[in-house]
Amino acid sequence: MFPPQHQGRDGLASSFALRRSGCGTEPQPDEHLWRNILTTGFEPRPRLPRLASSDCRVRLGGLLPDTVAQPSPILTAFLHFQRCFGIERFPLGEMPVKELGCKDSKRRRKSSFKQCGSKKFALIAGKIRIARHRPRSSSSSDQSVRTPMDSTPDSGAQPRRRFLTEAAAGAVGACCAAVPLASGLVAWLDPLSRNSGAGDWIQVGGLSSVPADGTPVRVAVISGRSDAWTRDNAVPVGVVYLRRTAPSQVVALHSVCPHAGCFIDYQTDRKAFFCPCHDSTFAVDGSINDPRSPSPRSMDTLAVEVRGESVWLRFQNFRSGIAAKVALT
Amino acid sequence: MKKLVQWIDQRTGVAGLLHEVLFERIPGGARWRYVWGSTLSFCFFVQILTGVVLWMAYSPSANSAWESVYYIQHEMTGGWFLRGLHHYVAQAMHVLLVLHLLQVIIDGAYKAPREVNYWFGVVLLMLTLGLGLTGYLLPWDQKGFGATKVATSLVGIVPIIGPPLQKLVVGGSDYGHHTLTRFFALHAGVLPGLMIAAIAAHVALFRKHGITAKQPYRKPEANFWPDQVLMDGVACLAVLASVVYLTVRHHGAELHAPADPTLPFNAARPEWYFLFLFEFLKLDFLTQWFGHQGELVGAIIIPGIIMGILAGMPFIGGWRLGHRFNLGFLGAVLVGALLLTVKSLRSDADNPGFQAALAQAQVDADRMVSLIKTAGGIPREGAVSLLKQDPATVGPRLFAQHCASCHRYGGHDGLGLVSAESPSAPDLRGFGSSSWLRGLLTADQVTNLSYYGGTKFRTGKMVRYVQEKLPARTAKNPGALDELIEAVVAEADLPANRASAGARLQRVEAGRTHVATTFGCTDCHAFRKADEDATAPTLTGWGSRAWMVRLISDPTHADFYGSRNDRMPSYLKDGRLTEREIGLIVDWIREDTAPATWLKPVAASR
Repeated sequence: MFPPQHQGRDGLASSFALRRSGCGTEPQPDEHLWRNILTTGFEPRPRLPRLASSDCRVRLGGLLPDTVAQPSPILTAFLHFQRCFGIERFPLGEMPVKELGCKDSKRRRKSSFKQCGSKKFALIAGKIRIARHRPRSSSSSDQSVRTPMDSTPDSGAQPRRRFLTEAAAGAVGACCAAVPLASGLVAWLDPLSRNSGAGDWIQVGGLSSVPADGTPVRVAVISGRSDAWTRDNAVPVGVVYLRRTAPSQVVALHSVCPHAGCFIDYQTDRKAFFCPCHDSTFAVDGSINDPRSPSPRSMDTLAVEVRGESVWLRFQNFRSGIAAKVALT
Repeated sequence: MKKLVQWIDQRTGVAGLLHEVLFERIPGGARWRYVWGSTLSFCFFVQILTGVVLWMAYSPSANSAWESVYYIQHEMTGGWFLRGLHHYVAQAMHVLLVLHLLQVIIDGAYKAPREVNYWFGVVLLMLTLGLGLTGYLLPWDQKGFGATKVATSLVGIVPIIGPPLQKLVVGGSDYGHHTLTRFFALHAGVLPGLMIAAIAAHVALFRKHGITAKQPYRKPEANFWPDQVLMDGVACLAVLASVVYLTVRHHGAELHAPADPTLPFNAARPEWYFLFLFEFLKLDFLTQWFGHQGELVGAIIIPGIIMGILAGMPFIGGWRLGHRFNLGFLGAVLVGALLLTVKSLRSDADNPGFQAALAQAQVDADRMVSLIKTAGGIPREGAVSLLKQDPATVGPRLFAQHCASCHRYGGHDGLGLVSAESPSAPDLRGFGSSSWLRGLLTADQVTNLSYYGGTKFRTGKMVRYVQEKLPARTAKNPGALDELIEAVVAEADLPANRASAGARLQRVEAGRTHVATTFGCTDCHAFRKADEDATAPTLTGWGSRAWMVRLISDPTHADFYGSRNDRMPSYLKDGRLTEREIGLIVDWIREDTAPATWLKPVAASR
C-alpha cells in the first residue's frame, strides 16, 4: 500500500492510488479513456500522479511496478487486429492496464522504491507506457521485466535506432552550444594575449632637480599610454623616488610597496620610506629596516640612466607579494 | 559517479527535472513544424552568452561607446566574430519569430486553452523588437545614431505624453551619454530580464497545455527526447550555420564611422526588419487622408491596431470563420510588410544619392580604421576628433556643400553624386597636377566644362591665348611647354610630386625662364616676383596650399581675379567657411590627406 502522503497533483491521481491500492481486488480498466483513444484517435493528456516522498516519485514516464500485468484478452486481440491491418491508431508502446499484478503489496512497495531510479515502464492513470528509454543508468536491475511490446519482432532494431538518434541529438546539441561558447571564451581570454608594452626609456626630469645630499625626491613618470582603445600622449603612469648616490648617479625606487601594492610615502622627519598599510618602513636606500615589516623584498629599483643633465628611466610595474622581483607584462 | 548523481538527485531532484524536460509527450511523433520554439530559445541562449561577453568590453558613453565597439571589432581576439554572431542571431530571431507565429496561427495553437500562452508569445515578439531597436544604437555609429534619432522622434509625435516620453527615452533633450546609458540598461538589463520571465511563463504554459499536435498523427506518440530534440538540434544547427556564414562573409557586423551629429549622413536606415514601417510612413495616403496627423496614424495608431488584432486573435479565432480571418489577416500583414520592404530596398537601389551616401559611409568607416591604426590608438576626445581633422573625410563634404554647385570633382560633387546640372566652374580633381594644367593649356580642352567652359572666362583672354597664340609658340620650341608645365606645377608642390622633385629640378629651372620669355605668361600673370601690373591670378605658388587657401578665402583679391572675378564667393571674407575648413578642402583636393599627426613620441617631462 502507498503511504498516505502519496497524493497526486490532481483528481485522477486518487483514482490511480485507488487502483494501486486495490491490489488483490479487480480494478476495472479505464474503459472511458480507451474508448476515447480508440474512437477519436485523440488522447486526453495524462494527469500524472506525483509522489511526494523524497525517496521516490512518479514522474513523467513515471513509476514502475516490478511486475506488469498482462493486458486483457480483449486488448491483446485489439493489438493483433491493429498490427494485422497496419492501423496503429493509438500510440505504439502504450497499452492499457487491466490490472496490476502485484501479488504481495508489502513486497511490491519495497521493490518499487528500489527501482524507481531506473524505470523502464510508466504507469500512467490506468495504462502502462513502455518508456523506450533508459533515463539514467544502463545497468538497470529490471531486465527481467518484460511487456508485450518488448516481444514484438522489431524490438531488436529499436534500441540501435534509438541509440543513434540519441547520439545524433547529443552531438548536434553540443555543436550548437560549442560555437557561441567558444567564441565568447576566446574573446573573454583576450587580455591574456596582451602585454603592457611598458619598459621604454622615459625622461623623468633634470639631474639638478634631484637633491645632491641623497634625499629622495618624488617624481611623476609621464609617458604615452594605451588603455584598451584610448591612446594618451602624455599622462602620469606612475610615481618614483629619485635619489642621488653620487654626483652623476641616480637611483630610482618604485613608489608601490612590494608587499600589497600600497603607495609608499617618504617622510623627511624620519628620513625613511613609510608604507601606511602596515605601518612599516623602508630605509632611504629602499631596503627593509623594520623587523616587523611584512614586505617580502625591499623597494623595487628601476633602471636609470643619466644622460647629460637629464634623468631617464625604464618604468615598469612589478608583481607584489612575492620575494622575487618580477616585472608585470 | 553513479552514486554522486544519485546523491545530487536525491537532494535536488535534478534528474526528475531533466526527465520532465526531456520526456514531454508528443502525440503523433516528432515533426519539423515544432522546431521554431526551440530555435528561438537557442537564439536567446546565444544572445545571452555573446551579449554578456560583449558587455564585458562595452563602454556606454558618447565618448567611448563607438571606441569600445571598435576595440571589440578590430582589436580583440575573435571580437568581430562574437559581435557578428550577436548581430546576425538578432536578425535570425526576427525571422524565426515570424515563422513561429505563422506556425502557431496555422496550427490553431493560439486557441483555448492556450490564449495566455499566446499572449506571452506576443509579448516576447515585442520584447525582441525592443531589443533590436535598443541594440542598434549601442555602437553609436552614424547608422545606429541616425536610425535611433528617427525612432525616438516617432515617440515624440504621440499626443500629450509624446514629448516628455521622448525626453525620458533619450535621457534629455539631446542625444548623449544618457541616451546610451538608458538604452544600454534597457538592452542588457530590463528587456532581457523581462524576456527571461516571459520565456519561463511561455514554456511553463506550453508544458501545462502540451503541444498542439498537428492532425492527423503520422506516427505513434513519442517523447521530446530524442526524436524531437534531434530535429530541433538540426534546425538550430541550420540557424547557426547561416549566422556563422553571414558573420564570416561580412567579417562580423558592420561598424560605421562614429556618430557625429554635425556631419550629414544620408545613408541612415533602420535595420531591415523595421524597413517596412519606415516605408509605410512614407506612403502618400497617410498624409492625404490624415494630413499632418499622418505620421501619428502610420507610426503609432495603425501598428497599434495591428498589434491589438494580433493580441485579440484567440477571441477572434473562436468565432465562425474567425480562424480563417486570423490566417488571412496575418498573411496580409506579412505580405504587406514584405512588399513594403521590397519597395524600400528597390527605391534605395534606384536612388543614386542614397547609394553614394552608402558608399561614402563605407569609405568613412574604412578611413576611420586606417586613421586609428596610423595614430596607434584613439585620442581621449574620441574617434570623431580624428575624423573631424581628416581632410579626406571632411574635405569632400565641405566641397559638396559649398563648392559643388559650380565646381565638380572628377565629374561628381566630391561624394560621388553626379548632378544633372552642368558645372559652371572648373573640375578641381587633380588641380595643381601636370595633367590638369596640360588640359588647360590644350586648345580644344580649355573651353570644356571641366575648365573654363561654364565661366565667363570662356571668352576671356586666357582662352584666346591658349587657342590662338599657344600652338604657334609651342611649335617654335617643342619641349618648352613640358618644361613650363613642370615649372608651374613645381609651384604647387603637391605631396604626390615631392618624392621626385629633386630629379626634376633642372627642367623646372628651364621652365621658369620659359614662363616669362617663350610663352609670355608674365604679360598678365605675376610669377615669382611682385608684379603691380598683373591682371590675372598670380602664378607664384600656383596650386600650393597657401595659394589655394588665399584664393578660396577671397578670389576678389588683387593677386587673383580682382574685380574680374566671376561668381566665386569670398568664402573667408564672407564668413561662409573658416580658415580651418578651407584648409581641409584644399588638403583634400591636393590629396594631402596624411592623418593629423596628433600623436608624436613625447619626451616626457615632469
